[in-house]
Amino acid sequence: MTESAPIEPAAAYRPRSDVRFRRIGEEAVVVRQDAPEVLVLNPVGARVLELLAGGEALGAVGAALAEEFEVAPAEAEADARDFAAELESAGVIEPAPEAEAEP
Amino acid sequence: MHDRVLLTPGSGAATPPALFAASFLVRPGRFPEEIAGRPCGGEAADLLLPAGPYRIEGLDPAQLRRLGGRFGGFCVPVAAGPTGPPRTPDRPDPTPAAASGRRSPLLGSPASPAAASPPGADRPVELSVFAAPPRSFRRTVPAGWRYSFDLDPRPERLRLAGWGFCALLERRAGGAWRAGLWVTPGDRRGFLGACTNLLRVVAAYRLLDAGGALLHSAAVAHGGLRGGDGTLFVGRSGAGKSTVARQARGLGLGVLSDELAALIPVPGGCAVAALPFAGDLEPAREPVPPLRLARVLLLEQAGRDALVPASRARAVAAAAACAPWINADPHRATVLLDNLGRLLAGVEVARLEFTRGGGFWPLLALPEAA
Repeated sequence: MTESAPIEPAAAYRPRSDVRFRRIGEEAVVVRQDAPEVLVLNPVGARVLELLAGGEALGAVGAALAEEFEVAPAEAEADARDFAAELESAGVIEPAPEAEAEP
Repeated sequence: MHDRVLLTPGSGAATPPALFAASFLVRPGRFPEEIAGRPCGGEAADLLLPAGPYRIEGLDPAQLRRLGGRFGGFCVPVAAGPTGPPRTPDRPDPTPAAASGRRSPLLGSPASPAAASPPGADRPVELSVFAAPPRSFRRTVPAGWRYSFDLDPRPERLRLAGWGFCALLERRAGGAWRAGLWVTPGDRRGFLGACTNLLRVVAAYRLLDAGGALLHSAAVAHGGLRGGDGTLFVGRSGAGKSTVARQARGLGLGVLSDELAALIPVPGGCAVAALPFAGDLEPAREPVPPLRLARVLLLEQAGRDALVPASRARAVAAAAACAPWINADPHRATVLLDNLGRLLAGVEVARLEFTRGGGFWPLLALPEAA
């Protein structure tokens, strides 16, 4: 596995505009219309995508994984980072634009 | 973390709007804005396809004859007009519900709230054929061109343009579909190709509205074409669908399809229905009642014959990859995934690794056709 740049816990991602996905059981099916291809995500990947699509930042995704999959927080955060990087590399997600500052 | 399934190439990916129709129409900017024009003639026919019927109006006599020759018992001539006469008694609705006096299960059943039909699903699809001047269409074929057509999907309308035709589909208030097809009246052969292409697309969208899906797949009946169970072999172009269908026919099994099949929701599960669109085999000539779908096999050519368990998500992904036009439609791809998730919920699913010699058939334990 190639070394990738560290991803900040506050980093947020969103599905790319050509991506459509649905949970099917514990897994997820992702249609990438520009590719074109269909991906099947395992349960952890499906949950990561679901949380990111819901607007959760990477740190919150890691915390949710730790709770739902009963793993150590540090391990869950690392998994979240790795999965996010993999989803980005696969063309499923992209960095979300930063929220506008409060007036 | 993920597996990839490639979409079927050339299965109707949406065309970038700037390029839409440029290869086929002399003036793509003058694409019809509304479904209106001069009919080619006064003839009409019903096509008894799943989630239909599909009423085609504005045909000239030669076009009607060509449709009848192409679609056989699926095509029922009717008097032209907005409502037409009652269905011809000796050409009944092919659905088992019609045979039993119930509503068509292709459109959902009142006995099954989960399969309730969407608004407009009980109305026929209306397709009008209009005359277009020959100078409307390009007559030169780009080098390396492979037969295809352009598709521009929007939320409530679709535009199509292909060799010698253009078409506009609109989903009207209430959910009913209306379509216009513009062709050159004297272009008999081109008309049939245009009409067939349009019908494939309309069927895909209509089935989606009815909770179903149109899939590139071979459908085989075990236990007989009437009353048996269906096995669906799903695969992209070149995956072996026609090979499987040909071998099934050689074994005496009924074959509903070697190219495109319709999945439709029925109370308690999913059914598979034949369409008169074929790949290498002769297309179906007469409607047969849909079969209960018992098994979905994901085709994968390999050096051995084996059935490998597959998850429902994997099956949905493979099916979505083989759902032409809809999987490329940004407004409807999630509906497709929802439909497939429901349709395949109670169906046995496996990956079929197979050699082309047919050694896999004993693994399927399909009894001979009745």
